[in-house]
Amino acid sequence: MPAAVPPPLSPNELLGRQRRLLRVARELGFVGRVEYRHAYSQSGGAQYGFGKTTHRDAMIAYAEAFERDANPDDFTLEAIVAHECGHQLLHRHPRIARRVGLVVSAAREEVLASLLGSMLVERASDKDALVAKAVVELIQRGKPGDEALALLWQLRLSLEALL
Amino acid sequence: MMGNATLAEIRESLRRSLGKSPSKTLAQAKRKAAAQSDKGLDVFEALERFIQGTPKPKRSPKPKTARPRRK
Repeated sequence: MPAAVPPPLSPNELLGRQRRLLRVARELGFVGRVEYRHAYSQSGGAQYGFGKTTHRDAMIAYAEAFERDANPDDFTLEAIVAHECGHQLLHRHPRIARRVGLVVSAAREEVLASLLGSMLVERASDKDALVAKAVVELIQRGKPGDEALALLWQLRLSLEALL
Repeated sequence: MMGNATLAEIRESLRRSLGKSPSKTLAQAKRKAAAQSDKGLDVFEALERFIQGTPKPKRSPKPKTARPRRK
């Protein structure tokens, strides 16, 4: 069982994490408050919070995000942040939000957030990981593999047309 | 939310769900898609690369800049 509390960080390490998180979030286009909390969240590393306006949206990243980033067989911080940026686009992008943002189920939202995230990241390995996450989410919701692939492709086409 | 599955777990789940030969399943799906449009086909290539398991590149350390000498 993982520890309940992450190992303590020096003030410099903490500042380093905050700065890196903010830089990555802004580079990927996130608008709103970006916060690092040195705690475990059980959320996979980060969460998007829908605010009253886009500028009041929030992204909170947790210690797991950095631990996962340090693990060569897990998502990078960029991919984790891109997924949360995908959530923001779903709710805030004028065309996407109008088409899908308001009516999408929670499960479908996760798939779309990963797909959108895959379109934001630069590194091919991040792109690949987010596309794979999206298709596995579809499979876990009961879609057979070939149907999941076809749906993934159609969703990708729709998003490309809307962005 | 990102969920807690690691890349290895996602890769394993993907391999299991795409049948005996995931590459063939992907190629078939890509062919079907390509018959309708030539856009967005890179998702199949992304999945193929992911299944093959290209390792995550290591972060290169920040280059250290020399301190300016005191005059």
